[in-house]
Amino acid sequence: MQKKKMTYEQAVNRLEQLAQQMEQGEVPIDEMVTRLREAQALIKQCRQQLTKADEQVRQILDAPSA
Amino acid sequence: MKPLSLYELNALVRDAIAQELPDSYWVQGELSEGRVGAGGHFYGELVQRDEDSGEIIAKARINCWASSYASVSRKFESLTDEHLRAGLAVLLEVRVTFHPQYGYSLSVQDIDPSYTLGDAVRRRMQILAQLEADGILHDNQMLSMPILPRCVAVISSAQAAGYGDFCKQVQDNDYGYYFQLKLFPALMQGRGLEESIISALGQIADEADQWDVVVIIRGGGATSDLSDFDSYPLAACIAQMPLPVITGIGHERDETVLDHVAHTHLKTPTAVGAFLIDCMVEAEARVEDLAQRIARATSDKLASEKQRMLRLTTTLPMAFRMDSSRRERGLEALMHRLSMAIREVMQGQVHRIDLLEQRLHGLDPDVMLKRGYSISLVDGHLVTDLSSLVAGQELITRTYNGEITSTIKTCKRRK
Repeated sequence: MQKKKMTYEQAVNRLEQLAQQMEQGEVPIDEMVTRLREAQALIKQCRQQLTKADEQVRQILDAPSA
Repeated sequence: MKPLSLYELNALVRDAIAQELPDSYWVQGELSEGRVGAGGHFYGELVQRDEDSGEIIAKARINCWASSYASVSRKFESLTDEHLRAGLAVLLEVRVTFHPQYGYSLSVQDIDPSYTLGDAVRRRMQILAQLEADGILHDNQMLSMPILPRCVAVISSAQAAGYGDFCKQVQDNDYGYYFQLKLFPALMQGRGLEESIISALGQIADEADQWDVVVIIRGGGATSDLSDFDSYPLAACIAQMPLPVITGIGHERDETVLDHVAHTHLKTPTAVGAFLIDCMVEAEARVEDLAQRIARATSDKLASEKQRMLRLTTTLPMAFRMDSSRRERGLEALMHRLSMAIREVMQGQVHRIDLLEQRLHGLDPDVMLKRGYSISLVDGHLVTDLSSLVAGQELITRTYNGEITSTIKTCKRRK
């Protein structure tokens, strides 16, 4: 099952949390790779949302105007 | 008396007025009409209304010749951003004239725009006070601006100066940010402005979930009627919009009621466009900052783990070595203590045995016999008590080197 995509705000908040945990050394080395992958995916998502139309916007565009 | 012709009478009136009212006068009133005719002359009508009933209680034609009107209108517009038009309260410097053909009129020499401005400000204050009393003045400002204002509902006129530039500026931004714009057309000046903007706001509110922000823009260009925006129903509608409203209605010096209720108030459509782009720049900067922080935290963590490993590889064997040599030293010390203790115990025992030997040596019967002592026996028993002895019994006396046999004659106790 595909995970529901986070909103931009949720994604940025999660990134903030990850950065803090990593900076404070709270992430065990075993989990570092998993967290890093998660962070990279979120960063990619955020960047895309800045420059590309996402699903929600496409729906508005495709909807027949009243 | 010869009757006067009308011209003669009017000429008398003209002369009388010129004589009695030779100066210019500052007069206040409401401009009920106003138009610029051929030749650039301004014609209008000034009225005074009854404060209670609103009925006109005084009226005068006014005119302003092209030579004066150019400077009067420039002065007025530069300060108020408005044309001289019907409905405005004005303070005019006039000369009273009477023309035999056209009758009584006031010739405008000068104008005080701050009076009109004051009147507009009063009206605006009243509307703001009402919004405050209704508790909605700051409602829109309480909304939080979305992090990404990408879906923008634009209220403007397709023909309005600035609208096209705004679209181009936002959609062709240098950063490649994506914006979805939709125009909700409305009149941006003149009659019907209030109703059409309220109607556009209504349409947007109906589909509020599809939009991030509302933008109300009108280009600069000609100075225009800002007072149309000073409307209570319009301001109330904006205040209560479920989305943040950004205004950029192209005026430099003054603010309308709209600007007071809108979430964000900017001067021009260009400023609004720049604001939206800046929001995206800020959002991107935050993501980039987070990306850097995460990368730094990761490499820091890896470096520190590496350092830790390095430290362990050098310190562990040393620690082992130190530990084992410490243990060896401990063992040696223990052995030394043990041997010392054993030696001490042994010496003690030897000394004790020596003493015992000495004591025992003193008790040896042979040694005593050698010193001259002897032992007496009767019937093979050692004699220690005289009471058991009887005269005539045989007594054997043992000495160092032999035995003496004798017979007991008497027994006498030592006193």
